Amino acid sequence: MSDLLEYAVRKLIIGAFVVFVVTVVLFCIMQLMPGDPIQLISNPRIPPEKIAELKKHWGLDKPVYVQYFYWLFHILQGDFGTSITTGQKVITLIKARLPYTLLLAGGSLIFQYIIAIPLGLMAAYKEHSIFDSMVVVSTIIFWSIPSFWLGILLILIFSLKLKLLPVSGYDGLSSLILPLMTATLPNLASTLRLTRSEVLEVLREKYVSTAYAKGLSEKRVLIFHVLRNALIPVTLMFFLYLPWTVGGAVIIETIFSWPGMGRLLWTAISSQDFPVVQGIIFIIAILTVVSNIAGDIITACLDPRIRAEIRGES
Amino acid sequence: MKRLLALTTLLVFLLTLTGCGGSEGTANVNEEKELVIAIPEEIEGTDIQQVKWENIVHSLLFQPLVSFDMELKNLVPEGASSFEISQDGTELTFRLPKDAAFSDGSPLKAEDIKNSLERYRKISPYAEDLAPIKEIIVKDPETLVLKLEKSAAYLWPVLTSTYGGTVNAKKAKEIGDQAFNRNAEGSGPATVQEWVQGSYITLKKNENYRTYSPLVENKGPIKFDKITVKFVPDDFTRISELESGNADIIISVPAENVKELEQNSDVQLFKYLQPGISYIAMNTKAEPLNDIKVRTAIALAINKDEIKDVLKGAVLPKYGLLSPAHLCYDEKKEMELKARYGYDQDKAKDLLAQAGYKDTDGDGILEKNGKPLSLTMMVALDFPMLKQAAPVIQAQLKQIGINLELREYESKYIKQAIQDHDFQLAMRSYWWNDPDILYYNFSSSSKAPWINKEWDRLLEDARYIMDMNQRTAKYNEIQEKILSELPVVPLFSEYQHIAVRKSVTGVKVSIDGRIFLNDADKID
Repeated sequence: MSDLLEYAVRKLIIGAFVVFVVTVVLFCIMQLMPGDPIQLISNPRIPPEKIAELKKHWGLDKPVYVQYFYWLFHILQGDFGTSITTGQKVITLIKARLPYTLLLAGGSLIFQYIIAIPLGLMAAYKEHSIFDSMVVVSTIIFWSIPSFWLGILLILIFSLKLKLLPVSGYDGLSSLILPLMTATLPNLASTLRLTRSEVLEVLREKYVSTAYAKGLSEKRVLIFHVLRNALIPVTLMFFLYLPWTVGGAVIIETIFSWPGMGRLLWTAISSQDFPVVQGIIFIIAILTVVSNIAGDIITACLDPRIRAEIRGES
Repeated sequence: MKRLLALTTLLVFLLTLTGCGGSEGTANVNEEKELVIAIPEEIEGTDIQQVKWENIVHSLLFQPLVSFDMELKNLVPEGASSFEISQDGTELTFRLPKDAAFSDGSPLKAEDIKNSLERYRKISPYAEDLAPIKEIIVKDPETLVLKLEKSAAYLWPVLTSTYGGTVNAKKAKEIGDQAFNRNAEGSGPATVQEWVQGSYITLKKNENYRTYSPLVENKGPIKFDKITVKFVPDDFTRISELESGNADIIISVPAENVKELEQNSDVQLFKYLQPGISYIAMNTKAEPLNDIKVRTAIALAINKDEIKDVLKGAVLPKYGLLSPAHLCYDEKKEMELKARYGYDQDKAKDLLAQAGYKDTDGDGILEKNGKPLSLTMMVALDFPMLKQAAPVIQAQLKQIGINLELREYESKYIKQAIQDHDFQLAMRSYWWNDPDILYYNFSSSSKAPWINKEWDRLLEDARYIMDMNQRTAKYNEIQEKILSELPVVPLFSEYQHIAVRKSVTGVKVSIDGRIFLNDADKID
């Protein structure tokens, strides 16, 4: 276990460096965009003097590196700054949106796994059956449907024709259903296919034949010998998806007017609201690093071969 | 496996928690009369003195003292019970009713209006607007006098707009500007109840609301207990909200959906005209557009009726700088300009020939000194009408031998590019019902390449003419002077649509798109 700890610490140090680089690159990209959030107020009725005054107020008249270190200094103290367009604390904005994104993207991730794993296992177990072909065909369909189109289709069917569900916004759990379906179906297809192919591969392993030969029951073999091994890459995928449960889904959130982080990020980028964009990307970057490490550690716990590899490295 | 299970359970638990938290507050379903309006863009804040753009939310929260009538011809009282303008136009007196109150019930006196105006001067990005006011005098608790340096016509559109609405400055001071921006208070028909950022704002009826406007019949509180304004950026979703009956009114109906909604028997469409125009700006300082002959040729080569047809009639072709939804618009001047700058391809070709352009290599594009007449136009991608018009203009200019390249930018960048003189042709648009908007686009303060002292003087003069006829004559002169130099080619004013479900009656929309809900009611 101490090897694992050392591994995690090493990864964390590299991760901190990655986050630092991400913030620098992001800062540069935002600066490269023409204009700035004050200049971008395209209303011609605001005189240039007022614009200069506002720029000064927000510190945008300072050199870029001064702005960056100022931001870094504050973020290390946990201060994400203030949104230039709304004048609110960035952390307040994020806090207001996070529950909705967790609900939609997190919910979608969980549904995706709860449905995909048993279906994938069944499809692989009954390879070439009608059930298997149905699963394969439907995953291809869902995987190729763009989410904005699926969203529109679902609104047309469930809200306009059947009048069962609300079109958009957030008004109780019923308004969660359509965005959740739109977010889940395409990803579900990919997880399902991954599970299926992994299970198929493991089924061909010799130790599975051994397990059968030992006279273990079908169920026991499938769950404890096949699934446990097949799920390792699937688990890893889970951790790769995880940061996006906070980042939100921009397109889906826009179609369904969902008040999540994706929409916040989108409006912040288009109005060049630096502090908000930086804040959200910073959180996503940290989460990506952390969940990658968590993914590594958990797969190591599940798979002794990976543990051995880590030990070999250190 | 166990760990994964534990983790999943934990996540599910967390989600259920957040889910419960989110659904609170929207669950109470009692028999309230509710009006739902869907608009494309979220408000920046609720405080009209801090935001840079206003929309229907602000016009429901704040009430100006006076307003223009439906056709923008006359001033009428609104929050003030009466008003007077002195002979020379330098003294404006407003009388308040004794029972005037903010939405929280606290009395609204002349002193409060003074505080509100002073706050506007201090914090609004449009603080410049109130520059003509020299002194704000509280004559008695119900009488406010504004003393001006000199009579200032351009002050009226500010005083009559939502921006001129009275805010409860005392409350703003108490709770701080930031908190006030989340929960502003004025004396408009409604007041903030709950704002869920990224989703909607619920406004509840202001029981203390009174209006003295002759434009509406119901002078008391509105007939809805609450008004929910949803922020629905996606066009398809917004239309679906209306068609499914979830929304009663939608604002900004996309032009391509107008036909479909016209045929929908449950929906009534209101049409109004953009108080402003969309135009092509030209860099008058740089080759080859520094030659007025080239600029005139471009103006003459653009067939605006064809553009109108391509845009399915959603625009009104424009030849002058003011729209019929502007104060001081003069139809005669517009016709005169149309006669001069209307579509004339032969004349356009002549002018280019006079300017020394000839097609020497037979590729259909003119050259001068071996250089082809090739221009780049910045197209505003966030203005769908301009974006659709751009390729039509490209084809029309090709016919007179100009090669036009199109580059798409957001309008914000285009504004910057014009100020930096870093463009050849650029598409722009303005929205403000007073002709003083020309000051911001054509005077030195615009920093555009075309600025000159004479226009500055004329635009400055026009700000202070109170007599509507004289002011109209002045703006005719200004249009004449500016367009004789052709720094811009006016293109069109857009028709805008508001869709209302027929179950909602009594909605009124003015020529410049102000929506009056005072007489509106909902039948089930």
